[in-house]
Amino acid sequence: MSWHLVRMSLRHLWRRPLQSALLVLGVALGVAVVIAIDLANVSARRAFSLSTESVTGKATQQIVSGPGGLDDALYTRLRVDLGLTKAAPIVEGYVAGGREPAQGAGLSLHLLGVDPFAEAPFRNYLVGNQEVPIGELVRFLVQPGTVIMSRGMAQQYGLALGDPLQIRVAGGTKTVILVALLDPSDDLSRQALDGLMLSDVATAQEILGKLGKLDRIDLIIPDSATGQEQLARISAILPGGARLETPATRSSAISQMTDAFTLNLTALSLLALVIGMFLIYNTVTFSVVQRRQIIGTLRCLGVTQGQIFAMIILEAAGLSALGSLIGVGLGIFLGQGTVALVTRTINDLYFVINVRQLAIEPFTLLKGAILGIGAALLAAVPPALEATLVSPVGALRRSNLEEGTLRRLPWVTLGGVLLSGAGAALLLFSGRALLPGFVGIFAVILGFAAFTPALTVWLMRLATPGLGRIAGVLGRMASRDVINSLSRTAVAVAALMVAVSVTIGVSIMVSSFRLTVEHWLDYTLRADVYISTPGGTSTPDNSGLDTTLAMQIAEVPGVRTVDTYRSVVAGSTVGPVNLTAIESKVPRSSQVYAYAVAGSEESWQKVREGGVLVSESFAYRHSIPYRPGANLTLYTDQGAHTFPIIGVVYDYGSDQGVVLMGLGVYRQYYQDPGVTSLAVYRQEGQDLTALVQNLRQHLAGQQLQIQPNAVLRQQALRVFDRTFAITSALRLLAILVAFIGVLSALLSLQLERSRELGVLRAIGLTVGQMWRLILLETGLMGLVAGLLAVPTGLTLATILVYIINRRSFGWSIQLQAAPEFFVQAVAIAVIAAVIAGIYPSLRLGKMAPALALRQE
Amino acid sequence: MPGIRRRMIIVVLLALSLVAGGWWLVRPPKTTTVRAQLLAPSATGDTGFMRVDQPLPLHFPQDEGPHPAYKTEWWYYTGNLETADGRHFGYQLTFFRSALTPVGLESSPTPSSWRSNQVYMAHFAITDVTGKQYYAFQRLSRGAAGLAGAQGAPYRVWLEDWLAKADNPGQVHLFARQEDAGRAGEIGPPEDIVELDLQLHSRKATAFHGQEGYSRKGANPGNASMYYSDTRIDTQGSIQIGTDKFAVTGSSWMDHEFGTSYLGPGSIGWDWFSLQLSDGREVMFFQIRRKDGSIDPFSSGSLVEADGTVQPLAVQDVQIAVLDNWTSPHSGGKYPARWRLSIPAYQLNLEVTPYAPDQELNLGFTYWEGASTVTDASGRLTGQGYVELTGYAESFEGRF
Repeated sequence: MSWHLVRMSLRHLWRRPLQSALLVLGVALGVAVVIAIDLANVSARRAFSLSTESVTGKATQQIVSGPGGLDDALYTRLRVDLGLTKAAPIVEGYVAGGREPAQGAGLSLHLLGVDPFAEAPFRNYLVGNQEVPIGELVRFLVQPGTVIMSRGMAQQYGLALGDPLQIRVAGGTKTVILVALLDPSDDLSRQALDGLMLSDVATAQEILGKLGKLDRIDLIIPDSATGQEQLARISAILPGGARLETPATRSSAISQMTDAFTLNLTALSLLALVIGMFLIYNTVTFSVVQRRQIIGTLRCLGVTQGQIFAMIILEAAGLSALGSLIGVGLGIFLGQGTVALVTRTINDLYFVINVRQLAIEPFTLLKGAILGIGAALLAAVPPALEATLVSPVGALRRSNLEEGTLRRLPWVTLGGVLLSGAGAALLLFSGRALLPGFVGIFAVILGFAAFTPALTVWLMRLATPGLGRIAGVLGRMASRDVINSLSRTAVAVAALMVAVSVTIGVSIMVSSFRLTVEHWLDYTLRADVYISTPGGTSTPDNSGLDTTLAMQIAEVPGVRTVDTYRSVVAGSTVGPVNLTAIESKVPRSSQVYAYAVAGSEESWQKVREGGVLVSESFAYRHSIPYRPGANLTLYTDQGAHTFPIIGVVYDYGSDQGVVLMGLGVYRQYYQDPGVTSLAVYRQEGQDLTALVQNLRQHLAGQQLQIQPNAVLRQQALRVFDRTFAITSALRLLAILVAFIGVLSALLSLQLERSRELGVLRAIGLTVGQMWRLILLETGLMGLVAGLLAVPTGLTLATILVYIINRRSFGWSIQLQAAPEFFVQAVAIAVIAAVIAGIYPSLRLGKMAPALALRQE
Repeated sequence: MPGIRRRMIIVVLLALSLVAGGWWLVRPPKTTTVRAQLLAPSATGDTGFMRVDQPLPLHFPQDEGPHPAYKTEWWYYTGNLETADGRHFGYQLTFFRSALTPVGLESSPTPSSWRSNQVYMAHFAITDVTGKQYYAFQRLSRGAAGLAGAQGAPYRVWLEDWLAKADNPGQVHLFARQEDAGRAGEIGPPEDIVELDLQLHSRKATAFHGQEGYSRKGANPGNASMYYSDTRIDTQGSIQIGTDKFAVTGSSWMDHEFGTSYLGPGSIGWDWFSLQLSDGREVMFFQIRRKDGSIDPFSSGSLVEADGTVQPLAVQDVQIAVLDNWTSPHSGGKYPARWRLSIPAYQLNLEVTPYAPDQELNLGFTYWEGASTVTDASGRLTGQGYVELTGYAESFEGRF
C-alpha cells in the first residue's frame, strides 16, 4: 500500500473533522452500548459465582430439605454415629443492615452461620488451614449476636471492632456486634466476601429464629469406593424430607434464571450497534462521494482498483479503531450506570446479589472493540466497492449511478422479501429456542428495511401531483429529488425507519405488557389490606410471621375474612420451585385461569383436596401440557410426592413461575407452620382508612408491613417500570444514532447537489425558497420513514410479544396497539428528519452561486 | 477484481486472527478459592475461673463427669497391649475439656442448643512397635448439641464418635477411629483406617494423689488440680491398622484431673511417669521443670501398693537421671530418651526405656507421650507404662 495514498487519506480525514468525528462517534456509541450491557451482565454473573463460591466452598455434596429446614440432630448423628469428619452445618438467611430500609434496598446482607470447628475443609477464609484459632474466636462462640465481616464491609457500615450494628430480619430488628474482621488476600476474595456476614451456628439460629434447625449440611465425599459406601450410610439415616444434592445443580439452577433476561439485554445492545452501522455506511459513502474526482485522477495515474478499495477500508478501519477505543472508555463509564440498573432488576426479580463495582474484564472490552471494528468494516465495504467503480476518465456521472440504483431496485426488494421470509420461517420453526428468535427478528427488520427504497419511490410518485398542488414547483421537485437521489435517500430513510420502528415496537410491547399486568393485578389483588414482613426480597428465606396472627386479625372490628399465604422455595424433580400455599374463603376470579381441568369453583375444590395449580411461565418452562393428567413431583418432608396439576393460571410475579397449593395440603406434607403474608378483606361499608388504622393499632410493636391494596399495586408497577428502564434508555439511544445517520446522509446528499442548487440559485431561487425545498425533501423522507415504520413497528411488536417474550419468560401478553404510538412514530420521524435538514440548508445558504457552479 | 478480493480476504483473516489472539491472551479468569486472614484480639488468660486451692470433696459417680467452672480438665487413658504372638502396641486416648469463659453464658432470650462455653479436644495415638509406626490424631469440637461432652452418671465422655463409656458399672468401653490416616499420622486415602476398640475393667480401687486428690504443682495454693487415677486396668479388645485387625490384651492406666492454671509462673513443663510393676505395685511421679533448669519442689507422685494403699512420694524421695536423648525431626525439640528412677525408700532402682523413640504428638500443642518398658537393676522386677514429656518443643508456661 503506497505511502502516498496513506498520506492522502490522512490529509482528507484531517481536513474534514466533522465527518471523521461522525464516523468515530457512530462506532463509539455502538461499542459503548454493547460494552456497557456486556460489562453489566459479566459483573452480575461474576458476583453471583463469587458469592456462590464463598458460600459453597469445597463441598461436594449437600444435604438439603424442604422449607422447614433440617433437624440439627441429623448433624450430630452424622458426626457421632457415622463418624463423618468432613461435614459442616450451615444456617443462613438474608438480613438488612441499618435501621430504615434504604429505598428499594431490600434484605441484602447474607448471614451465614457456620461451625468454626467444621469449616476448615470447606471454606478456609474463617479458620485457615491451620488450627482453629480458638483464642480469637472466644467471643464469636460464646457471646450471642456476634458476627464477623470483611474489612471492606466493616468500612461500608462504618464499624470498628467491637461496634454494634442494627440489622433487620424478617419480623424484627436485632443488634449484632462485630468481633473480628476478615482481611481478604486478593481482589477476587474481597469481592466474594462482599455482602457476607459470618456468625456462629448458634447465633444464626437465634437471630433467624431457626432454633433446632439447619438449612443444609455440607459434605466432602471422596470419589472412591469408600466414598460410595459413606454416601450409602448417610442416605440410610436421612429423614423423609431430606435429600442429597450437588452444589453445582443448585447454583446452575439459580444462575439459569437470569439467562433469558441477560440475552434480551444483549440483543437490545446489539441493535444499537446495527443502527450505528447505518451511520458508518452513510459517512463512508459521503467521503467517497466527495473524492470522486480525486479517485478518478488517481486511477489515471495508475492506482489499481484494489488499492482504492484498500484505502477506503483502511480509513474506515483506522477511524473505527479510534471510535472503538473511545467506545470502550465510554462503555466503562456507562457501565457504572447499567450495572446498577441490571443488579437492581436481578435483585427485584431473581435473587440477591451484591455488585459493588464493575468487573472490567479485558475479554469483554476486546470483544466489544472487535465487534465495533468488524461492524464498521462490514458497513464500509459497499461504499469502498462503489469507489472502485469510479472510472479513470472520471466520466461516471452521478446520473449513471442513480440509474443503476433504480435498475437494481427490484433485486433489492426481492432480497428484502427473501430475508423477511427467511426470518419469518426461522421464527415460526425454531420451536422454543431464543437465539434463533432474535436472529429471526433481525432478519425480518432488515428485510423490511430492504423494502424501503421501492416503497419510497412508490410513495413519492404517488405524492408528486398532490405536492404540486400544495407547494407548486418546489413541491414536485422535492418529491422527484428524493427519487432521483435514491441511492442516498433510501439508506437514510431505511435507517430512520428501522430506528423508529424499533421504538414503536418496543413501546407497544412494554405498554401491552404493562396493561396486561395491570389487568392481572385487578383480578388477583382482590383483598383490601395486605400484611407481610417488611423489606421483602426476591429470595424467600422461609422465615415468617407469627402463626396466630391470622386469628388475631380476624378479631379486629371491620375485618370480614383473612386469607393466609405461605411462600417458600421447595425442591422438586424439575429443580427448585416457588411454592405458594393458600388458604382462602374468597372464591377465585375465573379470569385467573389460562386452563383448568374443570370449572373455576370445582378446580379450587380439587386444589383443596390435594391438587396444584401452576403458573403459565412454569408450564411453559417445563413443557406442561394443558390437559388433564399432568403431574408435578415435589420433595416434601414426607418424601417425594406426586401432585396432579389441576390448572394453569396467569401470573406475572416471577418468570420462574409459581406452584399454588392449598394450605391444608401444604401443612400435611411439610412440617412448616410458618406464614408469609396475610390478605385482609373488609366488611361491607367499612372504611378502608379506618380499617388500616385499626390494624396498625392492633399490631403495633410488631415489625410488620401493613399495606392497602392500592399501595401494593403501585409497588408492583414500580418494579415493572424499573425493569424496563434500560429499554427506554436504549430506545432513546437508537433514535439518537439514527438521527446522526440521517444528518450525515443529508449532508452528503446536499453536497452532491450543490452544483444543481447553484444553477437554481443563479436562475433566481431565493435562499428562503431553497430552505423550503430542502426542508420539504427531508420532511418527505421523514414522512416516508414514519409511515413505513408503522407496519414494521407493529410487526416487531407482534413478534416481541408472541415469540420473544413467550420464549424468554413464558408469559402471554395481550397486544394492545394504541393509535397514539403510530402518530408519535410518524411525528418523531418527521421532526428528526426536518431538524437534520437544518444544517445542510445553513451551509448551502451561505454558499455563493458562482462558487457552486464552479464545482466542475 | 482479484486485487480487491485478495485484500478483502486479508482484512478478514487479520480481523479473525486479532480476535483469536486476543481471546487467547485475555481469557476470563477462573474463580479462585476465597482466601482471607482472621483479625481479632486473642482472649486468653485464666482470671475468673474457679481454682483448686484446697482439697475438694469428691462424690462418685457424679465427679467422674465434668467440672465446667474450672478451666481445664482431662480424662486420660494410656495402655500397653499385646497380641497373642507378642506384637506390642501402646495406645493413648485423651479427652480434654477447656472452658472458654468463666461465668455462666450471656444468653439470648431464645438460646440455641449449640451455644456453649466449653470446648472439647481429643488426642488418639497408637504406637505400633513391630511395625515401627506411630499414629497421632486430634479432634476438636464444641461441647454442645450432643457433639462432645462428658457426664458422670452414667459415665460417658465423648467427642463425636470417639468415646469412653461405662456400659456396665466397672466396665468402660473405649472407642476411637480415624479414617484417611496415612503414615505417621499425615492425611492419607480414606481407606487407611486406625481404630481402637477396647473393654476396660479396673482391678484396683481408685488412687487419689496428693492430699485426698488435691495435687499441688506450685507454690501458690491455686496452682493445683484435683487428681485421681485408676492405676491397673485389665484391657482387652482390638486394634485395627489399615486392613489388619489385631486382637489384643494388656493393661491400661486412667487419669482424671481438673483445675485452673496447674503450672505456676516460671514453670515450663513436666515429665510424668506412670509405671505398672510386675509385683502388683504402680508408681506415678511428675517432676515440674522450671525455666532456670531446676525442679520445682512441689513435684510429687504416688506409689500404689498391691493392696491399693497410696504412699505419697515427695520430690526428695525420687531421683531421676537422664541416660539418653532424642531430637525430634518434626519439632526440633530435644527430649530425654531413657531414665533411671531411684526410689530408695522402696528399694526401687528402675530403668525406663521407651518402646520407640518417636512418640511425639505434633497437634494443638507439641508433647511426647510414649509407651515404655521398665526393668529393675536387681533383675527381680519388670514393668511397663507411659512417660509424658511436655515443654521440650515449646514452653507450657501459662497454657496449663
